[in-house]
Amino acid sequence: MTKAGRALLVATLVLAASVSWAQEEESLDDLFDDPVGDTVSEAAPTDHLAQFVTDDKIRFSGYFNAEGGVVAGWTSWPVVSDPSAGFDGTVGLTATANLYFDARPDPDFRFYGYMTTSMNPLAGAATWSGFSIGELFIDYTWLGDVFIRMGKHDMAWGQARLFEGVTDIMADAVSGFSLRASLPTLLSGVSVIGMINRADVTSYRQICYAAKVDEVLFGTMLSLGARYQLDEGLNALVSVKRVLWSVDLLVDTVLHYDDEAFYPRVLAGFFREWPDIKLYGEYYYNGETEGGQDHTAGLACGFNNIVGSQLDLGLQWIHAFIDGSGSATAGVTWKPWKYITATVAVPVAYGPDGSRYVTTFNEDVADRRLALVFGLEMEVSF
Amino acid sequence: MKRIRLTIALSLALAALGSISAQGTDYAELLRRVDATVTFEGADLSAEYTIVKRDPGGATSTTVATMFRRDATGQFLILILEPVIDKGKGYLKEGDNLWLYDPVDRVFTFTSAKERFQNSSFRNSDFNRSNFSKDYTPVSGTRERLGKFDCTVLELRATNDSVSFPRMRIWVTDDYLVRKMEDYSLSGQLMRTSAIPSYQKVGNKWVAAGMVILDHLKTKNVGGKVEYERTTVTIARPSLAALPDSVYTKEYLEKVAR
Repeated sequence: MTKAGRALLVATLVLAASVSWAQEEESLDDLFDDPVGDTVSEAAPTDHLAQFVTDDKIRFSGYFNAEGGVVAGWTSWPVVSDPSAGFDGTVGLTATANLYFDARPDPDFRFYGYMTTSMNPLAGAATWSGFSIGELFIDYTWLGDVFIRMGKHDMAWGQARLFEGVTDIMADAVSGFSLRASLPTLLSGVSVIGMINRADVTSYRQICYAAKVDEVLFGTMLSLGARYQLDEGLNALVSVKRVLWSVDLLVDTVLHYDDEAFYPRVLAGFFREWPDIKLYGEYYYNGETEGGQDHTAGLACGFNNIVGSQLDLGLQWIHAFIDGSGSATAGVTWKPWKYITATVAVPVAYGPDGSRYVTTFNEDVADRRLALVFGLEMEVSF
Repeated sequence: MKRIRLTIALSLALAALGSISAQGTDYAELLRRVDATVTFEGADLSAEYTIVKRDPGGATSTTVATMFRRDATGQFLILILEPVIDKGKGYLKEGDNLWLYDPVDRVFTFTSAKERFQNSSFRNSDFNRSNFSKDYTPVSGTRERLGKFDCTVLELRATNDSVSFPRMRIWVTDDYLVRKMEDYSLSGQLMRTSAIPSYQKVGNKWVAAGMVILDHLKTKNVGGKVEYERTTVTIARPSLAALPDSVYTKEYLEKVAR
């Protein structure tokens, strides 16, 4: 067969295959053969808001979480000549239960809170701790435009995901008593906050004051925040975020000033999401550390349903340049049964002995350098 | 230089002619009427959306959400009711900007409005008001039969990069309702097909009663047949009840999230 003949044969086969492929494809055109006719809605207008802002009775809900697992590995790098050197194993079991209540008697008033208790039978008594208040606050809409939240409540500023909370200058809000007043229709939101976060406050001078303004300019989110307390000094936050080519780009800068120190903290990062993949990258500079050389970088990637299976794969790497330490973790999770998530992970901590990610920030209770983790988690909301 | 000027002039003339067919149909005007037929300029639209995603050859997942939309200002607010794990999550759109709210972490995330809604083939941008006449230019049109409907089929090219798809084909019935859409990449690859077999009239405007979307990028060969990720959207209880301005704010989202 000549070259031209072969080319013609290949082209014919490709065409035939594509035609047969096309014939087998799912199509929507049959939906138009006998569709349900267009209708005219003559019902009275539905108040869709009502279901969210009012409720005749207090609504209760709950959350239960139990985690158990085994960790085995080496607290020092394993050596072939003595594999048992530094080998250690730990079992763990914890449980947490939350009880939530939410009352919305009026569109302008809401009362919300939750109680929490936990148990760690392998690290103490096998009894539940006493219930403590997780959050307890009221929402009140004043004059239709001012949104007020008062009580013990959480709030999150800053944008960090891998280095969670490092630029969140209000991260301790949930442990204090706060009054937040927000003007949501001014710019993209303006909030002022007064917070009591210490005991024996007898003067307005001891109160912690904060304010935040959000605005979107030319597709870029800009957020300015500040927090001042007499003994803490001033913390100012500038957050910037922009989406470029489907990539979230973000920068947080916190400037701290008090009578003794002035230093910045900077977080820069990106986030990109595909249907089954999430990718995060972050860099963090902490100017509070002596010497001004505290740089950390991290990368995390999550894959859903790897190779068509029910397994999800997560990879994370964090490196502290200040002491050359870091951690790398690979883990697989799947849901074998309802409410149950199983995890197998291999965390590795590298760097000098006693360094940041080998000891201080090592999430392993035994500070293992190399380990195999198997865990089961039950999580139920009701 | 003369040749360049001539080329530019010819391109402009062809682009202008492209919006008018041989029969004299003004396709740009048709797009304006399409937008006007489904846009609620003087009212708030709220409705309940049920979105069922079926993975190709596999499992289904259901999301129920309530949507509040104000076309005059390009705003919408969406609150997730189901599944339980996502209950209380919210989306707030103002212009081209989208905020996501996670009630567990109390975090607002500013992100692109083009992404997939709850990981289905329905996109965040699909909640937007119809804006074909501003976002696209018709480059050609034909008449075609689609089941029991006689349609004008328009080939569209995006006029800006804020849209999810740079090229589209839409099937428009003579009552100015879009019955079918094909979304293409810049290179011409078919990305998504949507069918809207039936509409419901609210006031003097129309809202889709249901739509079915095939994601051509998520496929699986099941028993010799190519199956795509299929998303079925049902829009129930549409209402034009007036809403206060404060509904379209982050604080409102925070307040109503359970």
